[in-house]
Amino acid sequence: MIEVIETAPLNSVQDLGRVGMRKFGMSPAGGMDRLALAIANAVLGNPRGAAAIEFQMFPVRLRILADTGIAVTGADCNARLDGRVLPPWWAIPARAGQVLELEGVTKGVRGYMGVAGGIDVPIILGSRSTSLRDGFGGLDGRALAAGDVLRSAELVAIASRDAQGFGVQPPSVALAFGTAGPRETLLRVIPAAEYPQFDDASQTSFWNAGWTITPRSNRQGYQLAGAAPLLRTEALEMRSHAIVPGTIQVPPSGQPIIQLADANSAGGYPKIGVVIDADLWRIAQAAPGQILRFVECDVKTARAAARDVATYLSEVERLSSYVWSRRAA
Amino acid sequence: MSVSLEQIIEILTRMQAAGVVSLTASGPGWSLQLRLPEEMRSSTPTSTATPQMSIAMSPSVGMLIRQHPLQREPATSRGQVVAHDEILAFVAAGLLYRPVTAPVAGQVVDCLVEHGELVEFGTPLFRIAPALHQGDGHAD
Repeated sequence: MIEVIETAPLNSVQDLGRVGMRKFGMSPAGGMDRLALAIANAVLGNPRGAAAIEFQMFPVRLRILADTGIAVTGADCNARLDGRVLPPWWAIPARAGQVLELEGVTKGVRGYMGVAGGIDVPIILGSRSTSLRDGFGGLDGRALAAGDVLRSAELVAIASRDAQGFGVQPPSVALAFGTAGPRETLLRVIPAAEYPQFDDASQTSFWNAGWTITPRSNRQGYQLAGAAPLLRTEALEMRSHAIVPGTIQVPPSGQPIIQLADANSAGGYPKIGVVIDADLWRIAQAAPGQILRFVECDVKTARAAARDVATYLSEVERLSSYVWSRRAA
Repeated sequence: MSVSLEQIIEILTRMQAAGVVSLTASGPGWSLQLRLPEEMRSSTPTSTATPQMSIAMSPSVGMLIRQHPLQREPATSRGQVVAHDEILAFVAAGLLYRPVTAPVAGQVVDCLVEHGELVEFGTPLFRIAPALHQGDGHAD
């Protein structure tokens, strides 16, 4: 059990998302960085899809109410457990009464906290995710607030071979590709259905220009700004059609939008590309002011990248099981 | 019978905890002999009367990570005052980062191994001059 002593806005309970509900107009919600969320569970021996806490704003102070194990992954949030520094991507046994403080991020944007046994909130439409936009799921359909108490789905105490816990190699190292400049993030993108409708100059600048993340960027989507607008040879109207997280739309302004976890299930803007699923976590950790660069790829590369993510995750799961012992508390 | 590296490390850790320096086991078609490395045989000095140097050792076979890839500075530098059990560095064994911790509160007088070097189980990594007042050394 965990009590929220203090929290900034927009921090919520999330899991891997409300999968399969888009046909009913539901956005998937779920962690923006689903890889960090899955790792926060994997290192504790939880199912990958157990619910965890997503932190987007800081500071945060939480009190542990029962002996358990916790893991903090994603952005380096300058975490301290009872005043002791926790390195990034770290798992550690936690005792009743200890206080976890997250001061703020130095690198990345979103932090995740897993709890042994997973966080127990009701499953709604197949997921424990908070849909902040529609006000349901998670803890009463809202962001966390001081005084909230979160229960573990299963009370599990954890002993580690290392009393100070252990960490994992962050995916930014394990899954690195290409060479990005400072403050740049590379994303692999498959050209989408309306890509051929864009003029040559737009197609070229889509791949070659850097796209700055504007402050109008959140869990619904990131609005980008580039030097020259992306234009189509003919301004055709389109009917609304299904879109997925990662879809890059181009509204009439010519400045692209990447649709993300809380996006609508359908949209009518032309799609120039789709960020591959294996790279969505990279967007979640890129902050306004930073630059995104799109690298063209095909379905084969996307599948290989997905396999790399799966291998990383199962290797972390396997190695972590040697370090921990779990028992019912 | 097959024994993984992780299992051997587990056995060595338990041997160290129990003060056992060598172990022999055998069965039909196999035998196993383990000897605790010299550095692991004496446990952390507990005497406060003689301010002996204390050594922080590697918890695992792997690569020494003195600076976490997401952080701007090494976790520990020479001259730094550290608390008992404070994390000084990491040893990367595959994708896992195991912590190298300070066996006593005190001051780091020497960093014995460079970032990126391969270390073994029990390799001495930091020399620490124990603090004169040996509390639990919490800096806060």
